[in-house]
Amino acid sequence: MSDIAIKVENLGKSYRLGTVGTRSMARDIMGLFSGTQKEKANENTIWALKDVDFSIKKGDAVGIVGKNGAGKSTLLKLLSRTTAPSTGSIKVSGKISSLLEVGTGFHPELTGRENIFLNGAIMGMSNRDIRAKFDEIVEFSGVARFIDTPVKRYSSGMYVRLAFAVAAHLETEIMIIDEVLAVGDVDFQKKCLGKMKEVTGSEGRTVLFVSHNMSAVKALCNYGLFLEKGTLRSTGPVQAVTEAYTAANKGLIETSDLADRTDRSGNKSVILVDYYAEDMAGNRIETVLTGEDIAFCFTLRCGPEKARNVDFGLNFYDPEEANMGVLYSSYQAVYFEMEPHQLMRIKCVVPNFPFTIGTYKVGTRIVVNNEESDWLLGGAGFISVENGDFYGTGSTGFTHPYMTNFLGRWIHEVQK
Amino acid sequence: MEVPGINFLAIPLKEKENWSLEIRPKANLFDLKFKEFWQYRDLITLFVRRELVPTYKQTILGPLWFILQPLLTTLIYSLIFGAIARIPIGGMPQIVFYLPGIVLWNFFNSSFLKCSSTFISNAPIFGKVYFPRLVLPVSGMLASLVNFFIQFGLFLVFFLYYYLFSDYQLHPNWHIALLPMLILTVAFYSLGFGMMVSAFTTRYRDLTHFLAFGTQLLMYATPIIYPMDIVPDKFKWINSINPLSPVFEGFRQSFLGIGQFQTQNLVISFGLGILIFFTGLILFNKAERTSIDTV
Repeated sequence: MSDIAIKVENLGKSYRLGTVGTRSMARDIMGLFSGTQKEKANENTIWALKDVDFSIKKGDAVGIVGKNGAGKSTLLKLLSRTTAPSTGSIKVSGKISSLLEVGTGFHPELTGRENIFLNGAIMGMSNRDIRAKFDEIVEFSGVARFIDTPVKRYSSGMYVRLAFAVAAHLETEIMIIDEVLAVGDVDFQKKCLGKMKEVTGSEGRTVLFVSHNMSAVKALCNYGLFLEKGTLRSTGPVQAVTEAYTAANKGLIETSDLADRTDRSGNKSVILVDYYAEDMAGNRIETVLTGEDIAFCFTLRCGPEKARNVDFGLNFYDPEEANMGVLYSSYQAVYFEMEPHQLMRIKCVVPNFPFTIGTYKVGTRIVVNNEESDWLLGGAGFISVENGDFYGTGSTGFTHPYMTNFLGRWIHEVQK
Repeated sequence: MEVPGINFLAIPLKEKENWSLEIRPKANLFDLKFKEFWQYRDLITLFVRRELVPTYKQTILGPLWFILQPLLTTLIYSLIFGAIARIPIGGMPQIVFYLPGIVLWNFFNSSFLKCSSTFISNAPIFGKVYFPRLVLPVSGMLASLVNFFIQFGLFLVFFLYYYLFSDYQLHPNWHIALLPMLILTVAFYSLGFGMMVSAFTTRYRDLTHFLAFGTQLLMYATPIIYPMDIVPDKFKWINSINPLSPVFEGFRQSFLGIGQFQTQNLVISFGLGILIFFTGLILFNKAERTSIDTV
């Protein structure tokens, strides 16, 4: 028996553009008679995935990287059989389970216990398998006390933890995971990463992992697939593939779903369309150590008119929405200028990051010519902080969460 | 005799590829995947539970709702069709006449409606995880069946009361032995039609608007609130082309002994039901492969 877990040949998926209505019905009926299925595939179809070939060995942990719209989700959908391909084939050896979104099929009225069974069965486990794993699942999720409470009374964190716990204990040879690590608190994320390492490492299962987070991909995977515009751009050892991906994206300014948010006030002459944080080596990060240098990166988009005197402000909130500190570029006499419809990336490097352990919400506000232009009311994102070497002495200092560290110059005199 | 130079064993046997799953654009239309379906039987039990339990959670009357609903419907029918419209019901007590039809119709109607909305109401979960989609219509049908048995028990209570303690002439007869076949026929029709509708609605929503109207029409074309023998001759064809007629007439006839039930009509209806079921299943399997692209 060969050691290939998944073999994909000439895989493609097309979607028909436009709405479904009477005309599409007419076309369907015409298609039935003329039998020209292939000729129809022209003007109004787009290929979300085209001519993709690869094979994955058993026990490999494969990271799938690519920009939004590169075809990652389509590939996962095809592999997890939620939709059928338009061309080509996928051959699989072993049982596949997909973890495209945790908590799929949870019913709010049912208790945690009932939902574990339901969710497990949806993922293809038998009642006997679930019973055998039940205690382990509850233990991992940490919601033992509430196991007989309907899940609609759960906090969102508990909900996600329980759902991940079920998914992580599936006994399948091949697991597909799509960005699930973006949920839960820092501790639970670590637990998830640990569990995933265990799954790929000691248990020897095959894992496909989709993420935008290159450091997570590098930490978890040994092999990579880089998709671009629906085709496979490169495959190989994870280091090479993530490097290719990073190189391909250099100098490219991306917008994210921040642009579509509606919880904002201001005249929108310049708005925030993307936020992330970087370490000094240019890797995207979600966690920083106290005392490390960090760059907060913001992408701004200018409206139809030129904007002068753009003043950018950021601040940090603790979980109780208390403001921990504010910095506007104008405080340091820095202003930006933007041309109509221009995208601009602003990096704010904060040396010696002062806050102690915790997860801080990052707030932003843009002011143009002393008028509020864009204020994201729900914040632009989060930054998690772990205690680090703020003082440069190896001391973590006062490690209470949500505090600010500061340096002092110490002078002493002795009474004569 | 040995042929020099040719050694058959040296030709490597092509390693037989042994995949557990192959995904291709087109599937065999008649591959109904029963084996895979069977592997997910635990999921069916859980879905049935999921259908039934929340119906009475957070209600004061709880499981009583399972029997209150047909009782109230019977009350309304007795008032409108019995007391006001005065439709003759063969000298039967009203509750014993209306209840069996209502109970069986509830089974058909709820199973059909659950099944016909399969792709639309489950689109979020279908977009994320694969399991044989047939699990959902079947568990919807089974949940309706459980409901049916509870309500059928209610009917039996009334039936026995009138049979044992009243002067009404109820004639239960050997047709009761056909009950499993009657129930199966209803199950086949509700699943078959339901799967056809759900397959069609993945692309065109028109049918969903027609459903409430269509099921109501079908209900009046089925002998539920009236016995078949009072139908005027010029409308008799409606009952005779409606494959559900012999089922409902037979259901009532087996307990009450009234009506125009003929066994061969039921057999025809049963056969047609199986045909409808498999047609529905084929269309459903075809639709499930790409349903999430269009819903």
